[in-house]
Amino acid sequence: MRVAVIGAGVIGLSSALCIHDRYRSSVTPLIIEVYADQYTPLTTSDGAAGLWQPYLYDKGNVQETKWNKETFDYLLTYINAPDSIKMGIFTQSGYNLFTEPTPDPSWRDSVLGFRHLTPQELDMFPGYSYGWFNTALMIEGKSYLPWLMDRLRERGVIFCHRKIESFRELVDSGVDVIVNCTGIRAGELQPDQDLKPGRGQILKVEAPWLKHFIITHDLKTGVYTTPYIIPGSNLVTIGGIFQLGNWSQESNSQDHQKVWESCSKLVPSLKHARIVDDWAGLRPVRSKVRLERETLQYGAAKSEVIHNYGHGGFGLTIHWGCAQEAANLFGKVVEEKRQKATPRL
Amino acid sequence: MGRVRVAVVGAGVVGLSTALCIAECIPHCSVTVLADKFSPDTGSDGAAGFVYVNKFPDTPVDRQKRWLKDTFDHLFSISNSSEAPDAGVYLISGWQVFRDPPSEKRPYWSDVVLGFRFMSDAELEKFPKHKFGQAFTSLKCECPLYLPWLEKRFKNANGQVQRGRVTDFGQLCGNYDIIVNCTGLGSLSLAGDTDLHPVRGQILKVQAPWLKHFIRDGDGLTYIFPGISSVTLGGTRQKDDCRLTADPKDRSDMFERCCALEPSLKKSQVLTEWVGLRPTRGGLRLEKEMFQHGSRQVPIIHNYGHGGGGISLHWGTALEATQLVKECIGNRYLASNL
Repeated sequence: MRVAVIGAGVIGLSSALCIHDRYRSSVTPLIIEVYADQYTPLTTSDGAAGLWQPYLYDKGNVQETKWNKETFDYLLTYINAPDSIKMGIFTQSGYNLFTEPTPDPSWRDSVLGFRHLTPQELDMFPGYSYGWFNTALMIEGKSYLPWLMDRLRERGVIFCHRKIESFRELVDSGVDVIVNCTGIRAGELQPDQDLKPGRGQILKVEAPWLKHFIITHDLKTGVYTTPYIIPGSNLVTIGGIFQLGNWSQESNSQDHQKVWESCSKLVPSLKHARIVDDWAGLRPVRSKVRLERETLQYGAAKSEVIHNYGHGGFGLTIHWGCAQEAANLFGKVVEEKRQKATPRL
Repeated sequence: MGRVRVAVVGAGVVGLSTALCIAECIPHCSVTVLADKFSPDTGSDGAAGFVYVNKFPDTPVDRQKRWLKDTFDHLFSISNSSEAPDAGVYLISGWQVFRDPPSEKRPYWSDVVLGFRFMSDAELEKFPKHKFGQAFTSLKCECPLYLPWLEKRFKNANGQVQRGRVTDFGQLCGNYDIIVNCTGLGSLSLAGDTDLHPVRGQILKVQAPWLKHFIRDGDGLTYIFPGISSVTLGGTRQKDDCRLTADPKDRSDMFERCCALEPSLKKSQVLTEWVGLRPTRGGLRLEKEMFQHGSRQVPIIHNYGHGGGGISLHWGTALEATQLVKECIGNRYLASNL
């Protein structure tokens, strides 16, 4: 079988790995090709801070809560493994802050040691009267994506530096299954009114005395609109920008100022931090993740497409659960082909 | 009444903080710090600086708790200010894990630190050899930054600093009205204190910037404390061992023990190692003594014997020592007016 994965962010690479992992023995030959014009370190996954934390509430999307938890549990198994640092995985604890009492999040039982903040802890954050503390995982794209690519190369997965202009070009070339992991640009292959950019801008600063993530929330203005500070393995990511519908991938000075001022107010010690980098990225926002099959036929040529995009600001957080589901869908395609091939008695 | 001349002997974390407290809190005092060693050469400098302390067997618990709380509160407010990186003070969370549950699961300091609770089963899975654990948030105070920061503040409060070794309190009696003894192990000779003894501690500093949590084994021998520019691994507790050079056997042993607790350390790069002697005593000595010098009697406020808890208790003992100095001055005033 010939499989083409479009997109080499965390979604594309992990989907490829999952499918190869589960079907390499039962589907022979299994040829997997990854097509992308951007590879690490230029993908959206590379710019993200890398904190495992879903949005607060799944609004009924229980599938997504399940996929988030599966990803956390999967990453946790690597925490004591020799490869953990190469993968960019480590634990970090921190604070989620609110201006009023807030119901516990859907991921409360997925993380470690979840609890509410004590009054003494809240004293550290004037203006915030309620909050949570928990231990979560960090998964840094700049390390994780190269690690995924190494695993894929070991398995003979082929990488092509090429932008796919249409599904048709792959269908015509005889690809059996397309895995569409094109993130924010999925609309270029197939219009999707539900997919919109959630532009973010972050600064990377030197502040090695910071050992906790701190994420503020304003339930009225929405996710990522208020300051957050996320220490990484090297630099600290600070942010707090979410602009729905803004396609600009350039940093701008207004957002830079807003992030810098609001984060310095939250953590005064940041005043001494040196700013090392400034980056803007587009979160592929959708009302829910598009993870489903579609059959595409152009004349005699037919392919199955597995869509796996629209992960908003939680791509790293949810990637493994989605990759497993994409592999499940792939399994169904394989099964259907088998049944067709088996002559009926 | 003229200015009261106070000599503080010792420039480790106890000496400098005590001198600062006196200079800032007591008017009409001129304070001089006298020491042969200053940062980065003091016993305080190599310590990880984690605020945590074991019990002194001969000091009442409520007194220890007060010292710890005063220090915690003082450092806590620095950690929340823009001074934090200059002072080397910041919050850190993590775990203390025990192979077997301790007899005292909730220690006296559990309400001093932040968010103290027992670890969940899920959290203990990361430590397969340990059956019980405590999770909490405490503070770090890195002396190579903190001591210069204290000294700067001290000089801003008109404090004076003098380099030189004091071998006898008698040397100071001509020029000073009150002596404050913060000499740590120096008190072995200076105060002839036979209760005081060194407990050797060797540590390793490695590069492992992905580590954000402290991990301490409840046995007190193995610990991992992430810092600003390195991670401190430890350690040893060798009673009456005065060797100041690093022992390669101690080093490889502690590295192995730390890697067992945190496997990712195997990938860390070793930077330096250090040895310090904890000035240990059954009870921390914080009291006044009248020193006879010829016909004069000069009060000495002793503030030493902090063992491995110098950083953890420094501000609390500085406050209490300052109070004792105030009382001396009060008595002097009364005496001079009789």
